[in-house]
Amino acid sequence: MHRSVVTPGSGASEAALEDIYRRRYATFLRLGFAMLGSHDLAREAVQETFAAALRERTSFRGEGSLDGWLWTGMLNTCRQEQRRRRRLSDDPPPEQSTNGQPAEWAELRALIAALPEQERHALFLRYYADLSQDEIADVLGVRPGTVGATLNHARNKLRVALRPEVTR
Amino acid sequence: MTDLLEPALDDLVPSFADRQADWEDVVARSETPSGRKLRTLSRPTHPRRALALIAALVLVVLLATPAFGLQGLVLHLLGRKNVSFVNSPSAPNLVKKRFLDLPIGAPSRWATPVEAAKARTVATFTIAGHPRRLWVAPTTKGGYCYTFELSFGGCRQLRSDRATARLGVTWMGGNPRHGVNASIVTRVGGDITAPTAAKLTARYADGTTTDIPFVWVSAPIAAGFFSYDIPTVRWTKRRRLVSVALYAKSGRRIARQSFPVTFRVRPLPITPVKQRPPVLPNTPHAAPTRPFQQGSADGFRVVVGRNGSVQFTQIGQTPILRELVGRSAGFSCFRLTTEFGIFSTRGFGQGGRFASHVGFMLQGVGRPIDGCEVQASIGRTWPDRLHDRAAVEIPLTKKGRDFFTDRAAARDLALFVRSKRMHTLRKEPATQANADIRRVYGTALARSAITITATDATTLRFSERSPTGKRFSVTVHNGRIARQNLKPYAFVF
Repeated sequence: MHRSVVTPGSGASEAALEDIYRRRYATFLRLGFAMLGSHDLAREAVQETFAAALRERTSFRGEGSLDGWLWTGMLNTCRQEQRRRRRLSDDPPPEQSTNGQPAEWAELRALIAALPEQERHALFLRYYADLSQDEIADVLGVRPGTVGATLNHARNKLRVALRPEVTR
Repeated sequence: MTDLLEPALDDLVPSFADRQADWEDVVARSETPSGRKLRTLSRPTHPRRALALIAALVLVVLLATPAFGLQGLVLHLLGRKNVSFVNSPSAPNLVKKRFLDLPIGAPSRWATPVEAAKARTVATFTIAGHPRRLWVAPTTKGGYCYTFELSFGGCRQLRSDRATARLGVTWMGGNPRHGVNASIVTRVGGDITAPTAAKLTARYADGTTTDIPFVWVSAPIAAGFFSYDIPTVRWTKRRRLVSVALYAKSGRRIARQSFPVTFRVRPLPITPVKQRPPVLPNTPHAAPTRPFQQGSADGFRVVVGRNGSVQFTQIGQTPILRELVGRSAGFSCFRLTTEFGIFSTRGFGQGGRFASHVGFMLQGVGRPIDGCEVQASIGRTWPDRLHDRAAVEIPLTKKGRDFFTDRAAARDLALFVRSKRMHTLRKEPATQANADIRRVYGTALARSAITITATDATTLRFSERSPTGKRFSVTVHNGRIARQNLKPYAFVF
């Protein structure tokens, strides 16, 4: 993954944030969509994450990567949105359109939704944010070895859904 | 297997490669003070402290209420929760479409007259540890249909059905593979039609009871719904669920459902029994009535009556029809619809042993029928020996003819892009992949209508134009599907 160079202790520059935003906008959107199930909510989460990052850029201490700091922010923004939606329990999350094929990947979707939160987040960060094991560990605040085990566990559960779907 | 996980996951989330970033909007937002700013970029936090505080408060309230005479009120709140139907949010379009499709396949007098457009999301339950929404829709005859997301559902079609059983219970037994006897109840759910229902109680074999929460949805539904996961400590013979009973506020028992238990061990069959395809009916139970829709092609003639009666008759021979003798095939007819913004085929069919005369009733499909077909149970590879067509395709309208033509083009492209060899080739750098694909597929590709373009170093675009003028395309970026427009005609990954 391309990393933006930031001097430790100096905070993040607006240019560095803009650079990441422009290069990885679609990737951030994908993670947001995976977590929130809607393009509009995903876009809102990305914009809010970077707006907050821009406001708080001096608080970035440079101990980890700037990308990792932003991914953590994105994950937290999405979690906040999910919690807000759960509080409004009757407010349904938007249904993803399957263009008339409701059965398509239904089992895979259900299995992903049924994964424990950490497994689901690790999976999303690996496949939609394209982060390495070390970077995911940094974002989730766990050890890299734990990420590997978590991802393996999640993949094994999802295999069940793939067997009949893609071998036809 | 793991190699296939990536494309499958990829297919679930759009690539957003064409979305425009808007940095100016980010800058504008950053200049507006926001209450979310500090939490947004903090490390992941778990609301455990808040939850502990809430749990403590609930405990204090529950312990304190007997002294204040509030115990009954609290129990009542935990038991029945009233929900307003009219103030509930509308159900997602996909759910409405599923409600709309409920009558397909049912004889007209049994067809569910559900008012799909009125479907609403009325509550969220926890099922198997996950939040699952409850959707309900009224019927035109004073009844209702309900669905618990990814779980179960049912209908009471008529107003009179409400009186047949005040408490309708669906239950799930244990999974012997997980060491739980099948007659141990692990989950109960269902509906309640008694307006006076105040408390639903689960009784266990050890004599203890638990109240099961339920929602009561106001008119026009006027019914209650529940789904309750039996705690795992109750998954034993001595502590199992033995009954569920419904009580009125006065304490009078309204209804009761008990769960019989049989702890017999049933041996599993050692040799699997080979299933023969079922024999299809030669004629429908009622002859087609006028005005007919009829057509013939590929060795078959079809007549569809106004009454939904359909008759397939073989009038000729083709290589694929000869091959199908003694094998299974699917006979079906469909109508092309766009309902709740979702374009799909609304059809009905029957599968069984291939026969020269097959007839049945098209229930709940509506008119006019756009096409009928016979699908052969054969695998498909690219290039497809049936030219991406069904064994028999009989269009009955221009829309149906175009659909068959478009589906063949989309299917041709899908089979090509999703083939096993292509999965390997498309991971190469675009220019290299383009050259290798042409080398591997050679004349077959040259003869086909598929065009391949390397739009940049990592992106390949596959496209095919249908004779109707509709263009299908699949964009592959770094080996993954970034964009495609084949749905609902064909499936690509």
